[in-house]
Amino acid sequence: MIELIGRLHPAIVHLPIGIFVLAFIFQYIMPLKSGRDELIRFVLVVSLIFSLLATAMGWILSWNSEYAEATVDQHKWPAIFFTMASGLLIPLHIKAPSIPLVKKIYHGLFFVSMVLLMVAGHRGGSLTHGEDYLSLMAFQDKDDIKDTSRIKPNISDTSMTPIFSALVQPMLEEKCVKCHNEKKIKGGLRMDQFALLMKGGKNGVAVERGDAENSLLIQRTLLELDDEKHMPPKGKKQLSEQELALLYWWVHHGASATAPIRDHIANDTINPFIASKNEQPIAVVLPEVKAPDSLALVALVKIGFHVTPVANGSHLLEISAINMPALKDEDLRLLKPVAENVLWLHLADRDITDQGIAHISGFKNLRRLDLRHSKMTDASAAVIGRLTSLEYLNLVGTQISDMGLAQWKDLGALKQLYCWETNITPTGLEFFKRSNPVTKVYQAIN
Amino acid sequence: MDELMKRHFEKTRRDFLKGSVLGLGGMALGSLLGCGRNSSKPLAEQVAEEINRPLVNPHFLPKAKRVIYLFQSGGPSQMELFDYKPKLYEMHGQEIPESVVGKNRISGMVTNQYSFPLAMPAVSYQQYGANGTYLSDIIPHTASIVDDICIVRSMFTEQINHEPALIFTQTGNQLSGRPCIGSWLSYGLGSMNDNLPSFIVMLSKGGGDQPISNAAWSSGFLPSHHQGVQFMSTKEPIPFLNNPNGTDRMDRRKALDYIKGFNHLQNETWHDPEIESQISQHEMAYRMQMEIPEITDLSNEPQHILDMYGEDVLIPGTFAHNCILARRLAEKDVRFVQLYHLGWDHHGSIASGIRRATKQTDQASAALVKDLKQRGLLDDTLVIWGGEFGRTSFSQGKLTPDGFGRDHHPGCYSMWMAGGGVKPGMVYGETDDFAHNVVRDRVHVHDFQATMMHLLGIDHEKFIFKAQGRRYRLTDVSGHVVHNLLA
Repeated sequence: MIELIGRLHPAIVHLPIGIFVLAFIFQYIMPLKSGRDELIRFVLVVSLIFSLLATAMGWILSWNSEYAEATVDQHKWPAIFFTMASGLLIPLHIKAPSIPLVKKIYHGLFFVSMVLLMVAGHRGGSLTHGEDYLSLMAFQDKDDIKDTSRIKPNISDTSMTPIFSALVQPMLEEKCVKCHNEKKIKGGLRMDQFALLMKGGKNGVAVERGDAENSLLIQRTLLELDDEKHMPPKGKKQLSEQELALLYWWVHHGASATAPIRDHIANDTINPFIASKNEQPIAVVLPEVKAPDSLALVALVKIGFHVTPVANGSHLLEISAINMPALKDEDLRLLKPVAENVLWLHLADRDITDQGIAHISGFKNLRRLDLRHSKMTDASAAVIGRLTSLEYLNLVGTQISDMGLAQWKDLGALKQLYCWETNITPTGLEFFKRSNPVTKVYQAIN
Repeated sequence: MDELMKRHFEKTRRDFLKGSVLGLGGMALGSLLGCGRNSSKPLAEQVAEEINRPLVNPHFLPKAKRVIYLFQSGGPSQMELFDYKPKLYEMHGQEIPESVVGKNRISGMVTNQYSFPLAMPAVSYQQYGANGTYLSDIIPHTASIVDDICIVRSMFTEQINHEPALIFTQTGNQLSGRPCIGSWLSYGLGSMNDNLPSFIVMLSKGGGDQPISNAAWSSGFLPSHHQGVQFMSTKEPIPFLNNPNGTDRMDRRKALDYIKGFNHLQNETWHDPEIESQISQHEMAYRMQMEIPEITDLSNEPQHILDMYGEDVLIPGTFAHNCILARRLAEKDVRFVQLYHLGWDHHGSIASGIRRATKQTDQASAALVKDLKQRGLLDDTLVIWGGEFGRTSFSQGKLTPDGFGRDHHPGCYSMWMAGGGVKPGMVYGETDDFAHNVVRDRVHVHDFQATMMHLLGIDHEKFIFKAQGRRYRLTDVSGHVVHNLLA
């Protein structure tokens, strides 16, 4: 109950300010001819009554403050001194006409009170609206940088930039940090630094790493807008669907401060987020390459290859030999001029041998290679082992054996290896898995 | 790129003609009215932007390149398959609470009922897989792939009768006449194999009594060669594909060339895209003559693979047979294979009816997923299993031990997806204790469609076709990608 009275502080606090300023106006700006002294005295008394009331309420409010103590003190003490000073003005005003020294003190104290009032008022405003509310910087920020559509995540260096600092942190800074910072610690939670965000607040840990659904950070944002506990509070700028998805995804994947974008670049949560910031998602997902040589493309299409750009605006290609039943080893030589551009290559069910596969040596952007039911053998293992971007390798129904498999010590990027109906034995596979722990191997499935 | 590009270029040529005719007229009008300077772009270019174009490339890198949609027509009961509701066993025979039903729509078939007693599922449940997912004991084969599939328990639709609900799921609109999913994809992304249609439809026999209209695989206002090519449930799935006795392939070629000459002549006069559709259909048929017999010939399938799909696999027209054909078509890079199985409409005797339906479909559905997986194809093939709506948890008609049935229920139903960039081993969404309303993570039919398009690299909001004066999308004017379903 008593705390409720404290909460009335912002409602009452503006009364003494206005009334005291009125006294100031009567005293100095528009001096009245008759009855001036009585009027000023009356106004000062009314001002004092409300000052005392506001101070008392402010004091109660500060018991349960969500703000840092030092910040509150900066507001509290000027306000208390103001109340005392303005109270002292009343007896001084009574004595002033008779004693000249008192008159001087009275005028001095009046100005001091005015300054104290301004200081207390300003600091109070900073508490509620944020430190930079009245600075010129804040204005520039709002127009130029803080505009959501103009915030561009720093993703120029796609390789190693951490997701947190490049994507998550700017979002938190824009929509959360205003009330969760060093000065204003709503709910005891600070979000301006990674470590403090992880520490949590008054209601417990905000981020359960890897468990988005049980993380308060996520739960609060998912509540109905009208819910009292919904964050950001109703009326403040809300998280967009993409931002929410990214935040969820980030927490779900361990809420790491350091995990680089590169590890998750093909992710479908990051992309819409980046797209919502007016960035081309494709530029982030795929390596930048030069446009393929058009004569080389014509040559490929002419002998029957299907050649398709993998996505709009990308120079990377998907190449398939599905309509080339008579594909010969030499035909693959034609791929050389577009080597950098090939992202996916499908040579399934074709009579190509190791000599043909030798032509795809050093295709540095090749991610998917489908050689199922081709005539490849262990002799191609070395060529394949040098495909550093390879993520998907399909060798179903080929002659690959443990010998070939043993050559692949560290196929860092390889995520999936399909080797059903080959000469690979469980022992060979065991050996491969030991040196390639990340790769998932698929064989016969029953 | 040839087929795609050819189509693309032909389209562009036509567009250019149309565009320039309008453009010239427009420019003349513009200068007359003195408003020519207001726009930075020539009018011809502005008009050209408005005109429909296939995508040719996806908007962004796709996760799935093909789709196999195992449509279970009739409304499979969520309570007898995927959505375990212990409360229904407890409250068997009691009225479904008024607070649950509320003002929800019920079909005309039960409006005369005075009593709506809850009926406990005619099956029992067990936990399967790494996450201990509850599944019904009548789908043991599906249970064996539970770690590979993503079950969505929170689907809901807007339609309560078969035809509109099915058409809604397949075209995004309850009335027939819009292009279906397969046609949109065939039009938008084109074919990956010159010798086969990019959209093939197969209906299984022996399911049920509800007929299914070919509006479900219509191309609507898209060029008609994008409609689904239906395989018949016979030994010869495409009729008249073989040359008649005494005709050889060269004769056929000559005849087609002659006809093509006439068609081109007509096309010069009329510029009707349907003539081009006709020409391309003839050519496709000619090329299919070589390819289709090879695909439908199962003699080179090893016995252990045939066994996976079940005992019916060699009988043309069975669901199992169609499933193995679907796999063979996926191997040939057919973009969209649509299977329909009928026989899920259990208004009465659901206990026996649903067992008959699962016996026909369970093993082959699971075999398809496993077979694609071991061949490395599941990674970029999206398999979808589901119907047009769910069924009521209360009994339709009298609640008798064996004879009870369930009515149509659009408020919630279950389906599953596998491969193609969908999160494996996941259950998404939740219904209330009576499997009546969705309580968490609702997925509307348009959301499902948007998500599927997303997996194929398409932004559903940007894939638009203008016809009869308005712009159309598969997802109409709604739909959100369900990002939580994506791997």
